[in-house]
Amino acid sequence: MSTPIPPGPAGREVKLAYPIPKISKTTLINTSALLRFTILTVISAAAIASRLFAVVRHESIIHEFDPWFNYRASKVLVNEGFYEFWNWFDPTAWYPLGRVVGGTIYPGLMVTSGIIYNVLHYLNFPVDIRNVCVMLAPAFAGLTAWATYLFTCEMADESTGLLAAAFMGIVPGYISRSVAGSYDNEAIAIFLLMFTFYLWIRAAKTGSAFYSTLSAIFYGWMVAAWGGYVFITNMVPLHVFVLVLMGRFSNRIYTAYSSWYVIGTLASMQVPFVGFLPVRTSEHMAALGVFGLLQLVAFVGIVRRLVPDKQFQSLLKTFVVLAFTVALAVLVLLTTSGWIAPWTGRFYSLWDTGYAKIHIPIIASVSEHQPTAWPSFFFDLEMLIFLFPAGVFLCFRELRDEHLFIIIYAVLSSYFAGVMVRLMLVITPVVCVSAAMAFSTLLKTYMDPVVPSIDMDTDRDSVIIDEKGEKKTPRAYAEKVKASKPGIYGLDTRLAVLTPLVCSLVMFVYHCTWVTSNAYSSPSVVLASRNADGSPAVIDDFRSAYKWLRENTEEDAVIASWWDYGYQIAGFSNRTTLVDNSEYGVTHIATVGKIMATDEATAYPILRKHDVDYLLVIFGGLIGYSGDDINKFLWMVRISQGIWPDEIQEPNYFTPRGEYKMDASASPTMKNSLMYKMSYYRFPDLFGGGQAVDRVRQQVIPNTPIELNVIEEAFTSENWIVRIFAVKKEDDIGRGLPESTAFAKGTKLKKSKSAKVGGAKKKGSQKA
Amino acid sequence: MRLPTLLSLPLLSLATLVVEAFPKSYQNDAISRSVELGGSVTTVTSTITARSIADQPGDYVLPLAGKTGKVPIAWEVSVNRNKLGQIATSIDPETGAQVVYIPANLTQKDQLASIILTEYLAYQSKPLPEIIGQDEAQYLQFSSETTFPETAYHTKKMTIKYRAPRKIVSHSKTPNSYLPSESTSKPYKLAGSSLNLGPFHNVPASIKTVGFKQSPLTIHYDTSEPVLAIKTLQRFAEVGMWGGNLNMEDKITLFNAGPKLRGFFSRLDFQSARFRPTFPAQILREITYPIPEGASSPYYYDSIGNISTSHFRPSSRAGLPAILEIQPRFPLLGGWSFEFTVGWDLNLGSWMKTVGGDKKMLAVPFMTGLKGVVVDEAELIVTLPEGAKNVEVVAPFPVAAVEHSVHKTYLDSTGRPRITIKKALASESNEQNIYITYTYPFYASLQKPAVVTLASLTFFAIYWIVKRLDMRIASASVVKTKTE
Repeated sequence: MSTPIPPGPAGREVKLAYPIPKISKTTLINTSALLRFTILTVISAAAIASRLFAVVRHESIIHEFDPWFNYRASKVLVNEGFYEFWNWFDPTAWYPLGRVVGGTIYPGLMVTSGIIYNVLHYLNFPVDIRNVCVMLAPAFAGLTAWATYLFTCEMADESTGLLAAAFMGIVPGYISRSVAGSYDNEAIAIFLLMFTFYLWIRAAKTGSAFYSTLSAIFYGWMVAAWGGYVFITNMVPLHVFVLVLMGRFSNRIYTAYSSWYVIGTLASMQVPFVGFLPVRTSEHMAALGVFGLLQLVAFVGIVRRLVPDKQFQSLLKTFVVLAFTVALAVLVLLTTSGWIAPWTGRFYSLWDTGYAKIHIPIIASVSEHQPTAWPSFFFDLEMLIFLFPAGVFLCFRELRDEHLFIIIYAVLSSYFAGVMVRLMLVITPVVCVSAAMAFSTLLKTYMDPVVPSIDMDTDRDSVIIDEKGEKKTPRAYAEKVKASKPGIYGLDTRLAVLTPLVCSLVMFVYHCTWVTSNAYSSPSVVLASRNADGSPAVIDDFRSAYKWLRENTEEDAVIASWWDYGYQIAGFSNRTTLVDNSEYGVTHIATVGKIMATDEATAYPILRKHDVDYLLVIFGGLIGYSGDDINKFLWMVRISQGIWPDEIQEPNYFTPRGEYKMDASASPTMKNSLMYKMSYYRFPDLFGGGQAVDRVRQQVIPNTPIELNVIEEAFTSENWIVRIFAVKKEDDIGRGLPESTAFAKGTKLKKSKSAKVGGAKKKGSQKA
Repeated sequence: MRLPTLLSLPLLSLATLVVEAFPKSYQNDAISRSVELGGSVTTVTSTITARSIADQPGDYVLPLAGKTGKVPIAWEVSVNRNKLGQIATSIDPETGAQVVYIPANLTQKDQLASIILTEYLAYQSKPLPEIIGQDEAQYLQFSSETTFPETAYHTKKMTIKYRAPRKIVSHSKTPNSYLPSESTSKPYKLAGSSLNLGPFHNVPASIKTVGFKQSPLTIHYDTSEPVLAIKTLQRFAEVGMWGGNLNMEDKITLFNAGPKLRGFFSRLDFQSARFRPTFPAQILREITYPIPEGASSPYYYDSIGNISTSHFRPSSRAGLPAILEIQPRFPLLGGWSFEFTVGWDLNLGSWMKTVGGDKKMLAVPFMTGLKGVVVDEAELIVTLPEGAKNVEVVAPFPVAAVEHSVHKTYLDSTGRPRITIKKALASESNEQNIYITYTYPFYASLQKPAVVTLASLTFFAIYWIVKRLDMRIASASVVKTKTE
């Protein structure tokens, strides 16, 4: 906090609360520049280091689900070249439909890591693409800290910028999406968001076409990288709109916005997945409208200069009404005629949190789309969430153009962060910036050594006449002023405020590190646990099963699993999947839901029609892994009920008392469902006659053996988390599968002896 | 006649010499052969007591395989307990058998020489039945076309012994020729896990005698260990001159070559098998992989990441190798395969020495042999430091190919010489050092720091220039007046 000490008025001695060393001005400037650079470097280093918990504890591995797809796509990009990637059709996803990957993803992430990979390889650094992907998020987090510094410097001063950068570097709300291995779009998007905003503010402040072009280019990159670009698309026009409404329209704004919109929109249209959306969907109409508005306002400005005042008033009125009506009419017309797509369901779910639950269960089934719980604000932002409103208030006090930006950003993102857990990420930067402003103001006020001085230039013995005409000695006057004028006089006051502030900063760092270490650094494919002696152990069931699929099944085998595991199966096992995490076809997902939710006889034709070779379920009952498929089962039921309301009904899966139970009281539909059978197949046998307790649900599983006719157990991982079942082919001699299974077991031999013997002979001859 | 320096002679002239060098100058007093059954490698050890029956008998002709027998993937010979180095094999033009010429160093008549031949045969045992359930016993069937050891000389007495890891269940008819007529005992003796044939008397020279009848033999036996094979083994060795480090990395595709698993794997049965007296033989849970003494920082991973289920045991005593206990991600059942990579660091000083001036000599073990495991495709890839020249490779056994290439890695400018040595069908007997000599002048070690220094200086210079360039369209004074 190297604020230069303001010299006293007219070179008079300033009273200081504590001595400060005398340093020349040049030294001060140079030192503070060096300090800033060093501090910023250290902040970036800290931002990177605190994201490496997972790498240090486990290994350099891609986390969770979506990153696995991004990683796989990056591998295609670097191994097969850009054009192959751009035109990539993936026949192994969404079997048998396949997926046109090049046109259905935001390629910015993969292209970014592809460029880094190629540059490194060109310089003879043969870094593995996996390591590039794993380290991309921490590296960009370092850059985000720097972008936040620049952004905040535009709002306040450098010391605030450093504080904001430090907050941004370690705040859990951002770390949650950018730890090493979390190779997702958000990994680079937040840097792009902050940098675009910084460049925009810069452009709006200076009216420089150069900065707004740069801003547009970074916006284009952002569009290529993350669907959340719509936030910028609406944020910037809104800023401009509010400025215009407040009568702050200027040529600077005009230049900045016009160049930003034109270049940015063109840039965004280069992304195949976005294409013509910027001119055809409602989400983008605000930007277009503001662009039009600016032209009108500028035009009116010119007219005003040329036309006398009186005519101008009436002209303006007619013009405004006309322009508004025409624009609205065109918008409505285009929307109804289908040229402009109305709001999407996903967008509605932002306004009405109950919307998705009723209309789009797929979106509602994702945990990160749930509304944010209050404690998670504190969990992710700690003290910043309290300082945040103070910072926004400080913006109101000064209210320059750029401060309006913070205010709008704060209001919008507060709403969105409340609607969806995932959008917590969007609020984090503005919280850091405005909290830094508040904190920095506090620190500056209380660290400033200058003691408020009373006007003492009169002689010691001269008499001062105050407002009431009373005569007073200076000393007495000073006493009175001191009593009435608020200010910070002693060292004790300063320490009394600064000490808790510093303490809270330290607490903040502790909290951030703790949260990062405990909540956000688990790769989720590898589960950490402890041995009986307390030594750390790793539960590696997922990879063990995926590796088994990769090595010991046919290369064209089709695996059916709930969509959560689609990307992982493709990435780890390189096998064809029915559905994956791209939420591409609801019917397909519902089909898998139906397979899991119905009995064997109903499921078998569906399985055969889709050429399914293996079924994969996640079962946590043995070791108490609660994220298993039985706990997700109701969503499968709901989603398939949406497509086949006659065949699947959610209430059938509850006990008569309306409980979701797996024990003896479970409903027959539940017990016959493939999901139940696969999860608990031979599970009670493991307990050797004792009570088979499902540790996730704390229920006793009945001991009656589960019979599988159309599928057979193929692989179960060490802790039974992943269970893979093979789908049987149709019987060679046309018997039903239940009969042939029974025959193989020898249980029904007596029933019709002659027929079975004949059958066996036939089978034998066929083999020969 | 005598061939004093066989090794130096070209093969062609050798072959022409051979035709006449096949006199009856030896006879075998006794041959005792012992065959170790089990796994994908069968080890055959023949102890031959040779007697010269003429003065200056010359080289002893030792056939490795007859016309019908299988050629061993590797073999070793020792004469009077002295192990011989590499000897070229040649095809006997008369009989078509593959033979080697052993310098027995006998000068007079009636001298004795003890020759021990150890042969390694690949995939001589096949699983029977070919498909078994998870908990069933694993049986293998050994089959051989040649029961009698091939020899070029008359043999007075022959005994053959087969040893299986467990019980021998059955065997085919054993040969009944060359048995002493007065013998009333059975021509074989079967006791649990071993089968003894013979003794056979006055067996003629098999590869020389027209119409000599070899008798085929099959042995069906029980096993206690999984049958393992390695489909591909790639060993990377990289020399780091600056760090004094030799990094070794083995990329292995392990395959369970035993009977295939019927149906699928049941975890429950696998977990409960632990409580039974015998664990199913076909299931591989863990392999112990010996790595050289003094190895440090070992690692173990596969295509999808680090494998946490392994232990490293440093060598407990000088002279003993360190041990990597490797547990695959899943138990390996019949027909299953598992691909993984292990690596470790070695102190370069113990593996490389300077042999005069700039010349260095590096020893790299070609592979790590696992007992009874065949490697279908073995490859050793050695990367020498940047700037190494005049690379020469000496292999102690015949290899399929030696290729030279250039490899570029961290901070390289001109690249490092790389040598690829390939061999098909390798076994534990190929666990021998490959010697590589190269020259590495002192200035070569300075290449890397020089390049790095130059690159950083260039970067700073460019930055310095760019920082001082005025890239504004208007000159500074114009901009200033405009803003004012």
